[in-house]
Amino acid sequence: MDNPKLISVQVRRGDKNESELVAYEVPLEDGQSVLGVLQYIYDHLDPSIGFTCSCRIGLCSSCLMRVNGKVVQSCTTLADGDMVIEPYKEDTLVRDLVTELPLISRASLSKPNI
Amino acid sequence: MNLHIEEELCCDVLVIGTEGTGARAALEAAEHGADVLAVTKGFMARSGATLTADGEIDVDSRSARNLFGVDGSPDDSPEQFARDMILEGDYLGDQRLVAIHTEEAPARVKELVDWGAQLEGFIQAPGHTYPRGLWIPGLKLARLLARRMVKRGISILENTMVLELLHDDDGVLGAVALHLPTGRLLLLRSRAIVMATGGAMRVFPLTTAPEELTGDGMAMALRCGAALQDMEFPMFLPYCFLTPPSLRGVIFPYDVSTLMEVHALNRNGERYMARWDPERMERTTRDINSVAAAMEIRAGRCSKAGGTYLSFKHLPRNLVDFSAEWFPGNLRNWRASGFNLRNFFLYIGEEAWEVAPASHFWNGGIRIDEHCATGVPGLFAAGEGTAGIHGANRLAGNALTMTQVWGKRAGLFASRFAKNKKLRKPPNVEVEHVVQTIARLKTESSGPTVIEVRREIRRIAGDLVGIIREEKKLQQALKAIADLRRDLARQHVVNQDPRFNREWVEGLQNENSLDVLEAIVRPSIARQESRGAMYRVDYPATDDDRWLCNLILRRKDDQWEMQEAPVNSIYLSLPTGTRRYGRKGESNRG
Ligand SMILES: Cc1cc2nc3c(=O)[nH]c(=O)nc-3n(C[C@H](O)[C@H](O)[C@H](O)COP(=O)(O)OP(=O)(O)OC[C@H]3O[C@@H](n4cnc5c(N)ncnc54)[C@H](O)[C@@H]3O)c2cc1C
Ligand code: FES
Repeated sequence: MDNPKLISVQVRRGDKNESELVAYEVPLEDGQSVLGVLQYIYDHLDPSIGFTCSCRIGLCSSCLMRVNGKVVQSCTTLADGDMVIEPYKEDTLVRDLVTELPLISRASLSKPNI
Repeated sequence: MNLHIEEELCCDVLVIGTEGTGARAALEAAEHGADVLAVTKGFMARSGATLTADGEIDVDSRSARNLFGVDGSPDDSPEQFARDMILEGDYLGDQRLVAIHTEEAPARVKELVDWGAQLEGFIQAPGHTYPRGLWIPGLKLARLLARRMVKRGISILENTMVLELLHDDDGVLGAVALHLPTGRLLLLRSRAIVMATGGAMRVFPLTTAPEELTGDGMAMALRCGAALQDMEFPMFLPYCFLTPPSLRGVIFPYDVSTLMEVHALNRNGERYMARWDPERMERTTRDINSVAAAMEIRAGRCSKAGGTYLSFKHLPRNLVDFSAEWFPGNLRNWRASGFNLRNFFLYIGEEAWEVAPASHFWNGGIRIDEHCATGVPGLFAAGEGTAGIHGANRLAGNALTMTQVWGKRAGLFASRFAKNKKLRKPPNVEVEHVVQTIARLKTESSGPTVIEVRREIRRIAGDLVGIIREEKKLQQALKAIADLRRDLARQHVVNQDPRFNREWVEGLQNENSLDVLEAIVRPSIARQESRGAMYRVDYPATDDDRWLCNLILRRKDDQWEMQEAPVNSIYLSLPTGTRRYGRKGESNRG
């Protein structure tokens, strides 16, 4: 693309105790996903941004986020203009957009069983 | 930063990877009384390749008919299935392992059904003499196994990246891992280890596979003294989306090519497959389709985005529309995985799609014997990222079968091994050594960023290794890898927040990916022929007289050692002579 359109992306950064919206300007490629936009921010603007993803094709749900107020899989949601990206769940927030996803119970860390 | 081990966990069997293979191994080890700890870099049933699998899972046609009442052929048998595997693997499969695989497959799929899996179809994919492809969507399979693990009370540690195995001359002692949510280092002590970490497809710039698959397990096993085998045969899937960006790597166009008559075109509008397989054209096997597309791209006849075109404009509009109704379940209505293609294309079939071959599966990997043993006492391995089952190329639907057959075996033999072993304490110096290597990544600041290193790894993999290989470029790749190795020690990390630090993870993955990349390049240089998933443009023929052998790699004191091993051919005799790439070799016995 010759002159890609710039969009304004605001990402909620921080943790349960403290967070703020941080703004980034991102060139928008046609057909890019919200996850692709985050990857662009991480690769080119700010590697400290926290988010999780795995399959990138809309199957695993590890990329759930709140985009403009709506909870979506960010890999299959197209970026089409300015947006606000927030964690999809506050109570299990680890950092930035990373939340624990309790699909199934897991062993607690302090369970040494010799 | 003062880095140290903050938590210690003990178990009989440590299973690394929790998906198709790892889950099956964990369940089996627990069944035999072992105290199991299963660890995954991502979330369980939300990471790895298993959940992304379309769903084809193979057993011989006769067993499928007898066990599940599907329309299979009574003329098929485990032996015939094994024969097809050996042929498709271009005779590099270990025939002892192949025989076990086809023999045990029916019982493994039967188990899944007993545990609640629904069979959603039955198909015949190319390369199979009979229909063998039962259908259990990967996501359902992964969730079924995960639920069973939880029910069984198996300890599961998610979001935990294993970084290095600990061992001494008597065998494995455990592993050091990074707990991603907290950034704490864990010492995982165990009597035996099962490596079930999948492939390394993410080494390549275009891939169908998820984030985690960076070859960690293969690299760790190699550094621990195990051998890698058949690493020159990463498999590529033709016709994956190249553009638009969000669809990159999605395999839907390939699926369509197996269901409808499509045309693969270069920029001149030519159906280039006529030069490779005039009879079967786009219906030929995946390796030949991939090589042909890569040759078009290399010759400069590529699409606007650098791939090739896949067109079905020649088909009537109502025919194309109708296909949305009869395609198999998860492909129906132009659903490509989680995408709705109607959001991207005004009218499906009007435009050609821009596609390219994408890295899809790892045929080679850790060398194992029939007991999943690696040669390092206590280290077992199974599933994708182990060698010998598929040889130089894999049959469709046979990876999911592999996860169940070999996952179970690994769990069984690891639990048996663990019974007779003491839990030994890893020497402090060894633990400290591993910790120091990790600490370096956290504090170093003089080199390129981890993101730059990752880009360079993918550039080398894409531009200098890729599908079409040649001596000159492979030598350049070796040199570029050596340069990058120096940088690797000085990788720069910008962010030091310990919680879910992507840069740390990438930096640590980079070390593994670079080892794996070099493990592809070395045997690719040695093997002066084309076979299965590997094509050498400077040696385009298949040479059965010289190259019917497995190339085996080890690393000793930072030096690579490569060895040729004869193929195990106890059932089917090996062909002789030379033949055109893509033509099947003839066996005269079996
Ligand atoms: C898009 C797609 C479609 C496919 N379709 C089919 C099909 O229809 N039929 C078929 O037979 N095959 C198919 N395959 C192939 C098949 O899905 C895989 O080969 C198989 O599922 C691999 O299972 P696995 O358990 O060995 O590895 P994976 O499922 O990849 O699991 C690897 C596990 O290891 C973990 N891991 C990796 N590194 C570390 C580390 N350092 N520390 C801790 N954990 C780690 C990961 O988190 C993950 O849990 C497909 C593959 C893809 C990508
Ligand atoms: S990354 Fe898997 S659903 Fe988005």
